[in-house]
Amino acid sequence: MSEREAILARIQTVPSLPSVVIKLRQYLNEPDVNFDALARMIEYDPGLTANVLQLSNSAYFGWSKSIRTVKEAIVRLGTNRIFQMVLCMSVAPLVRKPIKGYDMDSESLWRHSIATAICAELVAAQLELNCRGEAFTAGLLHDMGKIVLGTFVEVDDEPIKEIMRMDRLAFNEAEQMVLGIDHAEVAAALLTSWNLPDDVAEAVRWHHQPSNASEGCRELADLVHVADILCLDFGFGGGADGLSYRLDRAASERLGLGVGVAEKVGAEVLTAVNELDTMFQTVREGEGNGVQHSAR
Amino acid sequence: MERPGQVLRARRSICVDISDMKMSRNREDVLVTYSLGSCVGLTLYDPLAGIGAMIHCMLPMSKIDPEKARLKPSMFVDTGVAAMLHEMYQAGAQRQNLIAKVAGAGSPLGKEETFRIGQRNYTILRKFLWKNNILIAKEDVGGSKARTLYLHMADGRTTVKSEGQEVEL
Repeated sequence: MSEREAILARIQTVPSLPSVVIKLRQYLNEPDVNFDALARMIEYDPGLTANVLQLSNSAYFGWSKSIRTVKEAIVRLGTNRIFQMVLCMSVAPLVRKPIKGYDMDSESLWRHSIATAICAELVAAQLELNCRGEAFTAGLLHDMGKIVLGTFVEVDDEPIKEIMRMDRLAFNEAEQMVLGIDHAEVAAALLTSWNLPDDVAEAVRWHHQPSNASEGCRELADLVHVADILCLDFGFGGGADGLSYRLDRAASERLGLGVGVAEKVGAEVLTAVNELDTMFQTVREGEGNGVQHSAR
Repeated sequence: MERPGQVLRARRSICVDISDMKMSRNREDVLVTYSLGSCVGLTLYDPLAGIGAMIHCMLPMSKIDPEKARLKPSMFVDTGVAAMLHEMYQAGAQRQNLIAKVAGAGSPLGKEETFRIGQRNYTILRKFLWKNNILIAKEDVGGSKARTLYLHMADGRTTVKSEGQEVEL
């Protein structure tokens, strides 16, 4: 078995997403959402209910008036926002760990993931992009491949860093040379195994080479690409890879993203990341947060 | 009076967050800022007054968001470094004694980097310091590394850590 095949096989050892996330995702695709049924599904778990209400009253996710019930949260904020909250709670225990192979402490990938999600969403809103509904999700999950490689496979990053320095390669190109696969492709395979939508997985797959994405997914791939680079630029949770990625100029041109909007969004992202990060410090994790991961 | 078991002169690490500035006149302090990508980090140290400060600016010019600049002046080079100098002078530092060191202002790979935030951060900082008659003594800028910057208040040493190696500026 090649190293690439071994890595892809290890994806099966990553816990699957909690069933409530998958069910919520299915509800998003239904034309007539039954808010009562959706609320009951969340209220079934008191820990999840408390966390959803807490996040519903945060400045970033929330509403200007206080929200007291889950149904009110769904009606006011929309099912997509509720899905994003539960997804954040679900991935937090996986992401908030030191990632050895990437020199990341327990908060680095978490801060980078939420920053990229927020940045993608803000850029999509500013530019009124068609893909804005998936911007947060794709941004949040774009680097999940680093968990598989860094935590589950425990890759030795030294040869990757060495070849990156010697051959002046981008980090993902060095991963490809050493492992036969990069973290973007691993992330896409993980998202597919989690039954997340194909366009999100494809945008994540090409987040370092967005021009390779198919036409239907290119806008989302372009968006995640620029959001990722901007968040690395601004120092939201970098690791051994630093800024060692190639910026595809065509992506920002296709999106129509100029430096003015990029800087304005950057200023907004800092406030939102700090706010969301503080909220999640108080959100209960692990047992009792209502998003227990299923064993495979 | 010393108490038994009391640890004297322990180093105290003071973290300078993104868009933040910290000043110290305590020899036990080490000012530190992490994850300098395209952001720019500046240390100013007056060895005679024993006053040092560090700033971590995200963006070059405050005109893109004056309200943010009012709330968080250190986010921008122009408003942040002005406030930093003001605070240091208020505390007793003298312009002619200030030793300025700069780190960060990196950029992603590729010749045609679209946003050039790092390069612009550096240009505006250099211009601002020049206008204030402060020359940059040492710097470690550009490239695609993420950097951590330290200012040791005990002796004014400035060090930069990147890719696992720490070097003195």
